[in-house]
Amino acid sequence: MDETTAGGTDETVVRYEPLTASDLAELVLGLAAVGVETVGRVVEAIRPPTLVTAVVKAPLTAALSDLGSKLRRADFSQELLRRGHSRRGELGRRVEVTAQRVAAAVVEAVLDVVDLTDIVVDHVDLDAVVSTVDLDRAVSRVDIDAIVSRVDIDAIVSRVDVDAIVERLDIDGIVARVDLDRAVSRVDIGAVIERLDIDGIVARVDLDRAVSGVDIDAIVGRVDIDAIAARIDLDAILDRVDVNAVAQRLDLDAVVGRLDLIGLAEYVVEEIDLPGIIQSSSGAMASEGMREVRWQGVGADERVAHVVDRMLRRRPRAPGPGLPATEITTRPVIPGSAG
Amino acid sequence: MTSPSRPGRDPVSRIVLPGPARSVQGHRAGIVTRVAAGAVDLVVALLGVALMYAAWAGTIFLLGPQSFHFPDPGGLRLLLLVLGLLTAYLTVAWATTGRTFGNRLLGLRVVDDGGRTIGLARAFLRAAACVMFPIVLFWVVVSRENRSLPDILLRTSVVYDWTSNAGRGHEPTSTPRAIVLPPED
Repeated sequence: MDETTAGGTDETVVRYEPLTASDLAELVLGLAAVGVETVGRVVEAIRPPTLVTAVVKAPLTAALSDLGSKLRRADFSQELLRRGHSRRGELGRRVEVTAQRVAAAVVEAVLDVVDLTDIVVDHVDLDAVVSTVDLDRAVSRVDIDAIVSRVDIDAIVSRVDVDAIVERLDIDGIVARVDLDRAVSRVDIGAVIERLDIDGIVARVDLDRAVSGVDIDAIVGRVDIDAIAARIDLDAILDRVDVNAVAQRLDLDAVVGRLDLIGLAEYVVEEIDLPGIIQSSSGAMASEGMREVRWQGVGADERVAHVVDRMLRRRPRAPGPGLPATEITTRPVIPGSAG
Repeated sequence: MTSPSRPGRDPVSRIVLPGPARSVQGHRAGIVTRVAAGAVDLVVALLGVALMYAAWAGTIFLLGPQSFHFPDPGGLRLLLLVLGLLTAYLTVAWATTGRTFGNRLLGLRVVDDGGRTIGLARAFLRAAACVMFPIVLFWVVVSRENRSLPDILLRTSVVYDWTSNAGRGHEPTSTPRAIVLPPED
């Protein structure tokens, strides 16, 4: 109607270009409009019911009369084209409204049939979509605390198969990638040790079992006892030992009691020829006078030999057979010749 | 007797002898002691002959007291008797104990080079030489080893040995029993 009104106000004649497809369509519409007007007149003439008169007759009648007046004042062809043009615009709007209604119904029906999720996943570039979303701002508007407070963490955790997760972990690979040196260098060993309950740990260690598993013999076999002994300052140790105190604590009686003194005495008597000693003591050896005579004889022998040797100007004689030097420690001492 | 001990070097002499005398045990004796011992042995022989003469005279007296008179053996016969008795005495003494009474008095012993008692033959030869030619004994004065001529010829020695036992220096005849401690109670 506005177009019609606007077309109505524009009294100037418009020269159209040679007919195009749209012009042709408008021409058809214009002809249709004339046909409608004619029908309207016919309807008015035959007096249609009141409702049709109220709804259709008035605007149509006005429009048709208006069109008629305009057509009378203008070139028929131009008028026809203008009317077609306006009618086309009106029909376009009606089609658009109708299309929107139809589209809503169609989309509803289509969605019932089509799985939109699959379509989205298959055909939509979600990354590109996400990249266009300002996630920070979205997150800032989310009340994380409230969400978390509504989450039953325990239930979630209870549903996690930790064993399966651990089995799938490449612990070795993880450890190999850990820079232990750097990690250790950051650890305050002193603080760790201070927090350790060493006594408690030791009390829980089964030392007997640990020691029983140690091959002491093998360890001892690898120890150089000689080298250790060589490094021991026995003199220093002995200096610190009170030998007298040790001797006082010795139970000599017990030691003597365990000795076979009779056997020992028999061995000594047999070794030193005690009967020979007794015989010598009670016989000639017992005579002090005889011993003196013998001693004087030995002295006289030595003196005579000494004099003869000096007369013959030779070295002192060796009257004895070659005896081991250990047995003869001193030259014979001759009575009267000493000094 | 595989390892004969030297006279005066056995454990007995080390125990019973005075210190100075110990040092000369086993040394060859000098002329003084040997002459003294010889003199003693000669006296012994003379005493022996005297006893024999007394026994002979006593026997004659018992057989005929009225016709008794001391027998007169004659000087040469008496001398031969003395020398013969002396030789026999020395031989037996040296071959058995190695020492006569004179040797025993002066602390001497006749041994061979090994320190052992000499045999009967060697003892007789030595005794005969010493009795018939006493002068050979004095080579001891000149000898650097205090050996007389019989000693040199017969390879014997006269050594100081103040111990009196003839069997001195014997090796222990049995292995001493091991000293075993009784088990501890």
